[in-house]
Amino acid sequence: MEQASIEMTKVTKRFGRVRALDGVTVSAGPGVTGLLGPNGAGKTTLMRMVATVLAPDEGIVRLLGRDPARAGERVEIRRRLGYMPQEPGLYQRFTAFEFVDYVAILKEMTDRRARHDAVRRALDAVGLTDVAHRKVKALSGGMRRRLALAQALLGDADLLLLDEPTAGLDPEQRLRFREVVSQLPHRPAVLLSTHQTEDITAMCERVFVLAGGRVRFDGSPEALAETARGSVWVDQDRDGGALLSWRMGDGRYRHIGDPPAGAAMAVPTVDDAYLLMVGDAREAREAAA
Amino acid sequence: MSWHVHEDTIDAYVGGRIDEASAFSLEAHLLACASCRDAISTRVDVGDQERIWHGIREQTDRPAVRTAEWALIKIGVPAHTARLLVATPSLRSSWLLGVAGCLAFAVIASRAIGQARTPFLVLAPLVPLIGVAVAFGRPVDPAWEIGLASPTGGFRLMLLRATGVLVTSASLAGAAALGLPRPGWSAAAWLLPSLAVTVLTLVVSSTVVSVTSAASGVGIGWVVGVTVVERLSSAPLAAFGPVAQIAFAILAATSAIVLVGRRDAFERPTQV
Repeated sequence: MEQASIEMTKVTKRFGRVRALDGVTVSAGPGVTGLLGPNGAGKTTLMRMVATVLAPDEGIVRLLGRDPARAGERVEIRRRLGYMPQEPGLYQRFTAFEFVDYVAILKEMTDRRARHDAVRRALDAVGLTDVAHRKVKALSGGMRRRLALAQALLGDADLLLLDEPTAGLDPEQRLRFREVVSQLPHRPAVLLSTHQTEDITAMCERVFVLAGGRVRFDGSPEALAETARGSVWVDQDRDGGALLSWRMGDGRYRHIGDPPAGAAMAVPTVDDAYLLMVGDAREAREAAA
Repeated sequence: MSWHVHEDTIDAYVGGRIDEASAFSLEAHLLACASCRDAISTRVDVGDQERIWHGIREQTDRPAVRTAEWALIKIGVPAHTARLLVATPSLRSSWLLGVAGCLAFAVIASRAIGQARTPFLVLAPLVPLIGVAVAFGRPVDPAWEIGLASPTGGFRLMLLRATGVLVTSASLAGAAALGLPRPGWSAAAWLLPSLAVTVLTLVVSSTVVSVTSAASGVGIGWVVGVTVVERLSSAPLAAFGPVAQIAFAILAATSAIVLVGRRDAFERPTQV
């Protein structure tokens, strides 16, 4: 059995009176694991904790078999970590090459030639070779996103954390991103936080759904979709009793919720299951309030 | 193209046994003749080609060395460390020029108002203090979170940048002190206070207070403290005398010990 790269046990994190994470227990090994959840679900808090930049208030975190609370072990984790934050700040006056080179120095790559080779490989992987010497401030939003991804790919990390990596990318760039992640050598543990259920379906072997700081689901994308079986139906007319409904391209309505008797059930998707799960969580939160 | 390069000439070119004028002529021909390019490409060692291309890429990709970075490398700072330092806002040339201007103003003020060196001695410790306030942390470093998650990030990067700021500021203040009237021992009396207030600022910033707020608080405390001591004491420069210097040395040493003990606060802040 493969050792878990990420292990979190009963982890809690509070910001003032808000519990961003509330007794979260998850583990993930090599391969792509998706982290799905609405805004404020605690995804970024969890990512930052795995990135070793945020400490839990309670609970145990083990990363790559090491304890990030210990200074020496934390440095060892960081040596094997690639991190693309949700809002990756970039030095505007640096060129794309200079910025990735700067991060490579932070990653202790002191040999100039070897470092520059690594920078070129990272920029090439995300398709930025042609603009390597353009200033960051002159890059488009999508290019900056890819630049942030390039710095995370440096050094063949064993633990790769990507927080909303496909936000702001056009469809072609998103496909290119999937290609890059699927071709990573030595199968690292990739934790991918996203709002895009298509990315989960297309890339992830496993998915955690986080809502209100708690893990609502832990399993494969197929198993996630299955949770909505019996709760998705289509009809010619809108059903006011549905939790959610929308008009499809063929003019019919797709509904999620408790189906009426005799409804024409549909094969559920990850999207359906996620909406149902998050909708339930929202209702529960509203009821509690 | 009606003619092609003879095979012997190609072999001589590839082997580096051709004179410069003939090489230029051949290269001009190659630009227009695909057939000769093909012929030459089959004879060139792939390893050599790769080495040449690698060398060209290294030359074209090499990041531009900025003025401050060049100066750091010249005084023996390793190139990769110099690069980490010049990303610091308070080590940019524009900032350093501003600091030099402020210190020059303080020297001129000291000479003009006949207060010997008090304005300068009060200002000099504030220079590294303000420099450190804008050297690291989320408000001033856009790539702060990426840096924090790296093995060099957090405490090591903060210490590196704070040291860079302190040394640079002290060098500028030292140079400016030479312009003071009647330079004597007291022209260097700002040095220990500079160290003490800077390290104290770092300690305060390891709590829930941001580094900018910590620098503001310590800076105001410094100015108020010096003013009160100077007003209450009959001896000139009492706030910078031998007893005060010992107190600053103790404060600096104590703060340094506390800072090392609180290093975790720079590695994993309670809020990001």
